[in-house]
Amino acid sequence: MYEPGEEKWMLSDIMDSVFLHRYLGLPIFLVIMWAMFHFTFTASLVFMAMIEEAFSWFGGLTSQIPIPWLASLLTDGVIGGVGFIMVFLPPILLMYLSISVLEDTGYLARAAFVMDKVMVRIGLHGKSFIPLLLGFGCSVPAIMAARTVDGESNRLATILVTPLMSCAARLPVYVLIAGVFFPDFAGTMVFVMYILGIVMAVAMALLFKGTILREEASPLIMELPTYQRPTLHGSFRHAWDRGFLFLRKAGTYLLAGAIMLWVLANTGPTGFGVAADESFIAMIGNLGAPLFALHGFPWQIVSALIFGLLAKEIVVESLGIIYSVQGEAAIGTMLAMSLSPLSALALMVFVLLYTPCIAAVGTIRSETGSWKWAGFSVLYQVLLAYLISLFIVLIGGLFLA
Amino acid sequence: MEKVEFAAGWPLALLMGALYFVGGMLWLIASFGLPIPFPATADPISAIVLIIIAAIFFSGVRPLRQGNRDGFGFVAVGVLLAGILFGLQLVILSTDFLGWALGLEDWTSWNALSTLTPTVWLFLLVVLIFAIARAAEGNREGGFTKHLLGG
Repeated sequence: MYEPGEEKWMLSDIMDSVFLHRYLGLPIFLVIMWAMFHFTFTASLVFMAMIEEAFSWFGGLTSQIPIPWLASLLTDGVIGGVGFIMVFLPPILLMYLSISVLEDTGYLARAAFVMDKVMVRIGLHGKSFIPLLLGFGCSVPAIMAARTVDGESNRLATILVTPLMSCAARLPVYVLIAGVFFPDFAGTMVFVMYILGIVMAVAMALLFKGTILREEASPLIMELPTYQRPTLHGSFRHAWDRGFLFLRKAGTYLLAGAIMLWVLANTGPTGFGVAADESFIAMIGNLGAPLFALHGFPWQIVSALIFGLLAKEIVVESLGIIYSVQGEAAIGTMLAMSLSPLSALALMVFVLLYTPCIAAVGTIRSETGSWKWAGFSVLYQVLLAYLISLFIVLIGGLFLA
Repeated sequence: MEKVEFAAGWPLALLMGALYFVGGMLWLIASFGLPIPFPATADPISAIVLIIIAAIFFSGVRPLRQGNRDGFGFVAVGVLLAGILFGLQLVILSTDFLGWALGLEDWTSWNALSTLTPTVWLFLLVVLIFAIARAAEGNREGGFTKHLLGG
């Protein structure tokens, strides 16, 4: 990474005196993060609308298939589910592109340094920031990256808090809800979710390191690469590689999930072709609904959250299938009718904080070598998500009253 | 590294900082509903971002006055961040234009002025100030603006 030559070294050095500045380093990091999310959300809106138009055109075709169950499966299940999640490909690609650019310039390594002071203050190792940062992409490799963290309790604490960082799979939920309920500052709301994820990860790390995972912090020693000008080809290639994984997931697991959800949404104790509120999915949702009565979540949302335990993309996917409508605008209308803005905010927070996916739980199991820690991770995250989202509804309700 | 006239850069840092500070503060005040004429929609976080950029420029003033090269980094990073925000906003402007040109429903009432936030025109002012400073400085060796351009 280092290119010899005093001039280049000096420029990198001078830049570092600002990017790693004692007081300005953190605000600059936050400005860069905000710019990334604001850009990701706003610039992708047009492309999302174009994909949505394309799928709604497909939906129009499939709905005319003369075999009713096949028309419903393709229109409500496949296009309403997988097609709807594909609408969120542009923000996911743009976010991966932004992360790739930051990575290629050498700034991400600086971000770890900027956050080192914060990490040490909460009892974590400076290197813990790398897995936490990777958590913005996907929790699974992020949890694996905790292997580089020195000290067993530091490593465990990092593994436990990494899933709180908002992964790309949660982005569709934020984009959908923020676009419907907070359209004037949707980008900022998405940014706030990511910041809240960091804050909660810090808070939980403090709690864990102060109670069950005590250990002395060790200093961060890390080689910083010189700044590089990112190449268009390199950054687009990285973004595409990661985006392709999302496409593959959409074509396999999410498609299977959509078909399974469609079956559950169309069958009930009385057989096939029942109304959604008499289906198996409604039964599952109604089981959990009393627990979320204070949150203001109807059974449709509770069902989506339950299936979202498998993968966060399924939350949005299942909303399309359960409400049996296609397109962001139509689902937005259904959500606006069933949630208050405060409940919508609580839903965003719940999605941010509860277990990211079944694969992340499996990774925690393999990385810690224990089901105990994997189970603990699921339990504490669900409880945390429940309590914080309830807190938002109750406190927000007091203010609004 | 050649001898650079770092001390000559402090008025530039001060002026750019003042520009972003005033722009950011006015935007922030307008975002909280106070009746001041400001050509932007309410967005307190974007306003705070401008104030942070102002703080970066201001941090460079003192070291530059002392002829310390550390001050150069603040101006360079300030301009870099302001330029990145400007560039990203231009991309957003072009995607909005695409939506309008394609006649997509949400963009039928769009106009370019709504996307031309202070992030755009403040950076254009910075470029203008920089161009004036560059012209005044000429092409002499070790000039501050020449160094800022990588010369």
